[in-house]
Amino acid sequence: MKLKQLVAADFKAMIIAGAERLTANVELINALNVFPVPDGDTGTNMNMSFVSGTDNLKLSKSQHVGDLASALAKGLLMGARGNSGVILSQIFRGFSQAVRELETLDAQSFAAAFSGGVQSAYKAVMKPVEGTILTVARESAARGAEVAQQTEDIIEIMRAIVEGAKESLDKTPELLPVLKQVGVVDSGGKGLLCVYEGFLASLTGETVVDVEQAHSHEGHSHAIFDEANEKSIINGRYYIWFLYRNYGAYWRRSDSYKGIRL
Amino acid sequence: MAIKIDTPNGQITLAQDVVATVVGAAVTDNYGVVGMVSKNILRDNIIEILGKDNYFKGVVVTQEGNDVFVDVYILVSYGTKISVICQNIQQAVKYNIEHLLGFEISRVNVHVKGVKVD
Repeated sequence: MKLKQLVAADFKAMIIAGAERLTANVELINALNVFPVPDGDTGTNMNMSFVSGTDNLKLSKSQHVGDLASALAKGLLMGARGNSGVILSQIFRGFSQAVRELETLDAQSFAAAFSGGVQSAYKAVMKPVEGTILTVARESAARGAEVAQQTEDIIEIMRAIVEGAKESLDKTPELLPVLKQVGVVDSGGKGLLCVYEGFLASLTGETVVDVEQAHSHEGHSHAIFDEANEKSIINGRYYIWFLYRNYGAYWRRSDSYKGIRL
Repeated sequence: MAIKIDTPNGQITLAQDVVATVVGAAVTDNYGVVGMVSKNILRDNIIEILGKDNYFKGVVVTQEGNDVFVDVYILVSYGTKISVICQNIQQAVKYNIEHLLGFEISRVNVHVKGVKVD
């Protein structure tokens, strides 16, 4: 089956599927978080950022892909948390700028949107650190652009992007020494891969998202979001996590860095 | 001003430059930061992005008794969530100082001196 045109409803379903995939992998991503500050919150931050984006997307009734992408980008910007959340918001800001005028996406504009996202993401940083989400975004978009020259099938492009992201993610420990020391791949990159995998699963029909139903649950998801937000920011409660080192367990207060070695 | 840390085996003195370099590296690694700038904006409001060797111009380290706090002066990129970038900087600076230099800091004050629109 080939998909030559991506219409607004499918675009919306694709983004929501990406968010669901990310939500399902939050704990795994948190466990990988060692850079720049090993505080085990990358997954949580990325998820909150992306959920904020999809919440704003769900509010839009537009049948125009460009409008939907703008809604997503705006929600992401406003809800961005943590380094990876800010980077994610920049990627989709570039994505939305690339598709702003387009009512539907064809294969070429689909691949170009990912490249636009990467360009935008690289503009906002002085010293891009390689071996992070930025590398994964860049290499996967390049793979997508390459495949887009030979095909008109959006699914094939998305598959190439996911494969590119996977390979790029596997190479992150080679680029960022701290990842290699600890023996993990980059957490932000893993988060991005999850989002992209969700996109692919939605396009192939593997995951079916009922956009209307997702909409009706919105109040509920918002409540969870607010509650989690309150706990982590306002109360500054204690939480526990583990580092993948020989030190054993650490515990710290979320708003200070007094590490205690047990 | 140098930072003095008393240990049972003697005193450790860290020059301002050393702290500034560690802080500067931590700040510029952050996503959304376009550059460090001097705390004294030049005449005519020309903002100059500091190079690696001049980070000390954009970092002020103050010690009052056991309290150490850091002020950093930065330029950020337009279209990012600036409040979150500042929080990220605070976390990264705190972590890097405590991890690499081994003293605790009580405050990280972030001064956004400009926004770069591309």
